[in-house]
Amino acid sequence: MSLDDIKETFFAECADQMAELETGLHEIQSSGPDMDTVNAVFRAVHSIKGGAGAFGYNALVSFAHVFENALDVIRNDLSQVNETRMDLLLRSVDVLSDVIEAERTGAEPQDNAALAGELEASFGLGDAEEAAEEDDALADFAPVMIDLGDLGVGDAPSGHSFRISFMPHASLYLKGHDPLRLFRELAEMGTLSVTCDSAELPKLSELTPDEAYLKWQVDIETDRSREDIEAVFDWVDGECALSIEETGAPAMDDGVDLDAFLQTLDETEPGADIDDFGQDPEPEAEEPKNPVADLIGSLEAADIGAPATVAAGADEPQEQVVDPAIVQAVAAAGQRAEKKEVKKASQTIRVESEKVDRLINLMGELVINQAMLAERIGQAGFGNASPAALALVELQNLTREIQSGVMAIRAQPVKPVFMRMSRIIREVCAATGKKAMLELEGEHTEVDTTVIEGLIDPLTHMIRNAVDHGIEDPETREAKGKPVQGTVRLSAYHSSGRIVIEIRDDGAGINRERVLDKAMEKGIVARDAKLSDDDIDNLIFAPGFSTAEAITDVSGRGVGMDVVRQSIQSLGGRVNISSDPGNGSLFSMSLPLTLAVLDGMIVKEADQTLVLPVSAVLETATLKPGDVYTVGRNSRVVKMRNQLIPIIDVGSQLGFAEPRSDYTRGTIMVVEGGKNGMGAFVVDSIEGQQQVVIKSLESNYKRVPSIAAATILGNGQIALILDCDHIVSHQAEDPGAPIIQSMAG
Amino acid sequence: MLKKILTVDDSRTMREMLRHTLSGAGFDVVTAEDGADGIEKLRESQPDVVITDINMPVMDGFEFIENVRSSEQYNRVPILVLTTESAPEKKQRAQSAGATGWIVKPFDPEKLTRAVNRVMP
Repeated sequence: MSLDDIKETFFAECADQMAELETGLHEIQSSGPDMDTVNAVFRAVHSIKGGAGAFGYNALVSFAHVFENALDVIRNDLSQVNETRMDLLLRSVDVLSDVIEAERTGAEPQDNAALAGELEASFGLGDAEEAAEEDDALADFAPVMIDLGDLGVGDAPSGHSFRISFMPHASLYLKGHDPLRLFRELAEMGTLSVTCDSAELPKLSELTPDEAYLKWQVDIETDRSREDIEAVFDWVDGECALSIEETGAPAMDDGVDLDAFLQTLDETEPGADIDDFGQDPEPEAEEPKNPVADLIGSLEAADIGAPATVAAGADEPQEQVVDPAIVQAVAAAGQRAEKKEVKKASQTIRVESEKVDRLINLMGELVINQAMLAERIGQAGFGNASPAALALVELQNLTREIQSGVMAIRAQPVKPVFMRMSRIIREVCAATGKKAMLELEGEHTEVDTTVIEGLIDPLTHMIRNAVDHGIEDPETREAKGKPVQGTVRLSAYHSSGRIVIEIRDDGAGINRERVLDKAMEKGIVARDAKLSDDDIDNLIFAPGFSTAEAITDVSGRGVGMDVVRQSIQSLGGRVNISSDPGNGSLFSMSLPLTLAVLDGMIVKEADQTLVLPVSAVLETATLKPGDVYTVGRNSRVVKMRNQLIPIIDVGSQLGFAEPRSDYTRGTIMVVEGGKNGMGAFVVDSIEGQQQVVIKSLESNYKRVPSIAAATILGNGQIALILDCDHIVSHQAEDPGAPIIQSMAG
Repeated sequence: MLKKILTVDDSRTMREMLRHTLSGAGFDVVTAEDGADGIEKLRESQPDVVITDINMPVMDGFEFIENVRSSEQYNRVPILVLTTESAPEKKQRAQSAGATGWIVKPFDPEKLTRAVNRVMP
């Protein structure tokens, strides 16, 4: 593709953008401004400006710039729309279209300064000077980019010497920076001597992997100015402690010459040399002159896959380690080719969901089968480096890829469901005379379709409930000094392998007194029961509970919240409420991302095999006697990385083993328990890690607290998957009923 | 193997410009049309560097960057932001969202290539 082709694309795109712009403005004129339309309109002009800048169409850039600024005024405050301004904007569309046409044909654009002036005056863009300045900034290519000058690598520079002390904060690494690259850049400016100060580096056992400990001192001799040096660090501004001092005299005294080292780095640099630029790119874009030769070419390409696969089964164990990469590359190339073809026809295909479900079931069988195969290979006494074991590793990788591919077919963003909720809110508001708006967060979070489907009803109910029972009527809100319009915030995010959905309202919160009264009246709790605030809040999930004074026709007849809880539980999820009286409530649901397969950590505890989701396990350790502290009468905590984590003796907590007397004999697994914090699970030993197929207990047996589901291991044995969140949140309670024994019966 | 760059921009023109320039400089280029598409392409193509626009429909650049940084697998990939504004607060916002660096539009091929090489692992 040549520059001229891209220009053509640009003008084609301009036409699209103009259409979008026009439709958008008419929509604003007829039905008032809304944020989405205004944003789309703004983007259209912004996009035209961006492209015009790339081709140096300055007349177009400057008019689009004024137009964009005018739209920005509206974007920042929708109430800024009025008839005169709309009229002006619509006229600007015509002028913009003329300017585009003029640039396309190479004609001199008509003078549009008058309209631009009118726009500026009407929208209070005011200081034309600033605009002019910005225009300058646009015309001038790179106000921020640093000019590295000629790349005099290896030159013996003369002039300044600087001493740079550089200590990155952890955030520097988190933004994709690497000190080595900064040094590489400095090395291009002169002669460098780098010393790393690792004095702050703690012992391995105390090292926190995501902390930054190293600092560097760099002495550089260069003919560049201090500004040039500072420019190297401009992207890490605020992400490090940096000082640059001019030392004057060359400071190459400590004999550590990293120059040669850095030189080799330069040589191994990616082959993206500036000299290469200008060569004709994209050989693949060449028109195939001979379709037959083309076909043969692609057949040859496809052939590469064959020897790789053969090698995997043959007797060359050394090669096999490399093979997956090749196989993957070939597979990826195949995918790309396939994608191109699909794109020509259509972007999506419709498939009956039963077909996908069948695939997922088979997937589950495959995972179990593979585990069995692994077990057999282990029993047969093949070593880890044996061809059989290596082939198995590849099978496992493939299975995993297939699985994530299959699951991705069913994964969908929660957005459509969330969008439905704004309608629910409008309906409830209309029925109750309340005012509320919906705020969405994380609506692109993806989750399995089956989970989404199961989510609609409970979510609808909870949203209704939040407005109907949570948000106060406008008068009450005003009296309390709250904004008249209440807010319901619906958010979704992924957390330790689950999706969490939260519904937060800024209403009255739960009236605990009334809830407790009602619960006693209905005999749900005993008259003399002593309940914590949290317990009282959760009473609203009790069967047959309804708090509204008069049962409204909005939230139903009090069959609500317990049904909500049941339907969430049947999806393998949990729902929780926390309330801040006077300020609102927070419903939080946590659901598994998929209902099919998870990565499990297999552990042994008192003859039982248990499975923990790997995503929940933060780290594992063995304890020394001094690590354990006793808190209160029976609670024990362990100190790890300066945090006190409660110890949970899994066997005794679940009621199938005697409490341990000595924690140092077991293995500790630090587990993340959702919002309940962490727990240090003690078990006898860790057996390994494998994918396990989730078999629901609810549908085959019944719901058991602390157990999320069951699975079948490679040896055919059934193992229970622990519900870590539940165990962590219930650690303080007495050991529950003997779950495992009742299961066995 | 060629180093791979993922570019995220809603404008077809910009996507073609970036592809033209970067593939000319010897990179393998993958394009995405908005942040959400970007996340998907990131998973599929596992690029060495990401270049993203800010103002986009569906998912804007800030949200895209935050998403990438919060994913366990790709949180260390260098991300460059394409911006027409040279206003410091825009850059700061990009930086606090997790951007590695920025390129001011319009860019010339050499500047773009240098910026990419500055962060290329």
